[in-house]
Amino acid sequence: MGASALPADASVLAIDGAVKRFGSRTALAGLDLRLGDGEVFALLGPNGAGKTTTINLILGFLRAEAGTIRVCGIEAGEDPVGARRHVAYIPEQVALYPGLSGVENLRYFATLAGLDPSKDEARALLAEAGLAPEAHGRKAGAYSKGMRQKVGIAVALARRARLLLLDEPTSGLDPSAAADFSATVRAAAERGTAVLMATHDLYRVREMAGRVGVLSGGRIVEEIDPTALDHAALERLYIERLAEVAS
Amino acid sequence: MSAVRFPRLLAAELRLILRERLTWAILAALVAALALAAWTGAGRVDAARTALAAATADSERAVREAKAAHLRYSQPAAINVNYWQDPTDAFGYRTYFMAAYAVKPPTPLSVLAAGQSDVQPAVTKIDFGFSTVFDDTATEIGSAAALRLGPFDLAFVLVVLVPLAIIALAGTRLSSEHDSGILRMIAAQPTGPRRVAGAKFGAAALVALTATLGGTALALLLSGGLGDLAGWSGTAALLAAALAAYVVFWVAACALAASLWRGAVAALAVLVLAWAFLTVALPTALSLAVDALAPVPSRIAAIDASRQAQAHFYAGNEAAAVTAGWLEARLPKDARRPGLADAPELKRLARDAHYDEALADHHRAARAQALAASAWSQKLALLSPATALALALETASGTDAGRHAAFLSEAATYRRSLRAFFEPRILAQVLDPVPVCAGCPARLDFDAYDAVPAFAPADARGSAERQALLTLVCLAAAALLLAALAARRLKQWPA
Repeated sequence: MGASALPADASVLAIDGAVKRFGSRTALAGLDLRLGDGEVFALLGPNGAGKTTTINLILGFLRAEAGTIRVCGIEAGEDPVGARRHVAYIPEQVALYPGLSGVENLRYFATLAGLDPSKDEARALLAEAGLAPEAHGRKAGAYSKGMRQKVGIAVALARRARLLLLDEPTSGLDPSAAADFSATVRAAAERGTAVLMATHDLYRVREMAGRVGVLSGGRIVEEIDPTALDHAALERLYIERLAEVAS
Repeated sequence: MSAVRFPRLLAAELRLILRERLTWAILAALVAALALAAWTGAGRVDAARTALAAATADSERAVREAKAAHLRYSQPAAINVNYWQDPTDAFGYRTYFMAAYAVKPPTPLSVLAAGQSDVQPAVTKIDFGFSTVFDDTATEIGSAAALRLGPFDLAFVLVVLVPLAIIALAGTRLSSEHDSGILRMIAAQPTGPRRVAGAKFGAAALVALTATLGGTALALLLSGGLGDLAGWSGTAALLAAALAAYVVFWVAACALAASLWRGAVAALAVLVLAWAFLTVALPTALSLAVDALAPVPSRIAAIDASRQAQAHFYAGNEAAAVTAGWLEARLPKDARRPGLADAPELKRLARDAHYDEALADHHRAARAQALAASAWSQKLALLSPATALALALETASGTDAGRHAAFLSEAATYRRSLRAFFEPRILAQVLDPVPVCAGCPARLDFDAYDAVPAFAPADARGSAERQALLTLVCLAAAALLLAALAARRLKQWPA
């Protein structure tokens, strides 16, 4: 599947010809990407390929020098706050206020998003994200990475965002936590949330993503259907594509 | 999804800041410092009031004893009272018995700032004794510099320590979130950086304002050092507003440091440097500038001039010549009689006039310097928020250099008024000694004890109110400027 093959129903995220440079280095060189409701798209690529830059552009933290990034029709560079209304983001390291409990952290971030969940609603969201009830009232300073990510997912659930951005979501998670996380993401996608994740984890990509884009040199050099390949074939293909681009 | 309502965001930030143990530790330390400073201030004001009461009691005692002596000596007796032992004689009373004081009473807000009061007297005895040449040689006017390492009073806590407490409380807001990665979670929410920063620093400002203003009010009430505020409530309100503007200034400085997006350590370093510059280095530089703009005239030259005046008076027949000259200027020729210049009273009056004339330039220079230093201090203090607030607090306390300079001038004027009151009476008595009572041991030529001019201290209210208003305007403008700069820089989240 080529990079230009875009689904017809793409309406949640539309990136067209995005270019971003940092001095003399080109991070994105005309990136095109479309994502529809309920789709899970994995951006695969080595460090420095432009995965985090793509996420920063979608969140409006950076502005593209050329091209457009639209979230639910809103240009992220022009109206970053408006675009972020439709986006939930879980960074690689979910950082929480260590002195607040999971419930309090969730309520704080929900307040930033203009929501006001009650304590019971917050507990229900944390439970839905897979955080054990006995951990809800515990201070987040004692949480593992997996538990912090579950709070991040709960924030995303509270937001009912149409697009979920995940940056290296399973890095550093133990297999059980990673499996839990995959299940939660799949459940979100089944509810219609579009998911864009930047990752190196080919195993979880096969498990979660419906589409995979290999990002290299600032553009998607190949888009793959991971369900059509086993893990070894996917890994081989990924390494081949990167080697081709490097040569 | 509804837009973020700022009051709810502010409430969330307030909850967040109040959940931190560090916040309570800072507030407890601040309130303890305020209480200790108010307590020491109250002790200082008590001491000043005691000194004033002692001066008043001494004046009343002198009058009471003089009246009793007048009564006692009104009866013939077989003793002889010399003039230096005689409170019923105008010269004797003025020179050896009268207890006249120029006083600088504490204002109702004196507990706020020690100012010059720990180096300058609030009570000056107006003395016509033998060794009184320079009534102000013992004291020199300070300047804005006096606040840089002053005593542990409320002004020190409010001007120097409150900014440190604010830096500890708000200096790492946003920048610590930047370091820990929480900022990325915050920035991903549909809220702009200005709104989040506004809520974070707004909450810090509310906590700092409550602690500073509430803590100060509580400390003042508990110390009991606050006087009757009748007529001073306007000044107190302006000072409270100026203090609030000072707090907001430092919170805005914290927001500006956070807007650099260089992390908590960098933000703290910038803020501590700003604190050191504004509360230590700049006041010191301003003090040096005041010294340069209003240089202190040589005290050695003045003391040398007084020594030379004394030496000149007592050399050869100079005393007689000076006294004759003094009489010539005051008495028509036909009123003079031989031997008049030998009268010890007239010799003393002539000597004092001789000293005054010899030292007039030095006196004038000293007072002009005091007034100029005070005027320059008032202007230059506005260049630093710390010195501006310190000066406002000192002016409200009545312990500022300006009030002391004015007090020295008023004391000199009072001294002249006493001289003008007594001199005609002394001269008249010497020219025409009228025996009031045959056989009485004393002269009994003076009984106008209650008519002796009393010192009327100037009202410090007007200058205190003006200084507080000026400080409020300057600090509010500075706080707004910093807040606007921070808001301008906080347009976008860091990538």
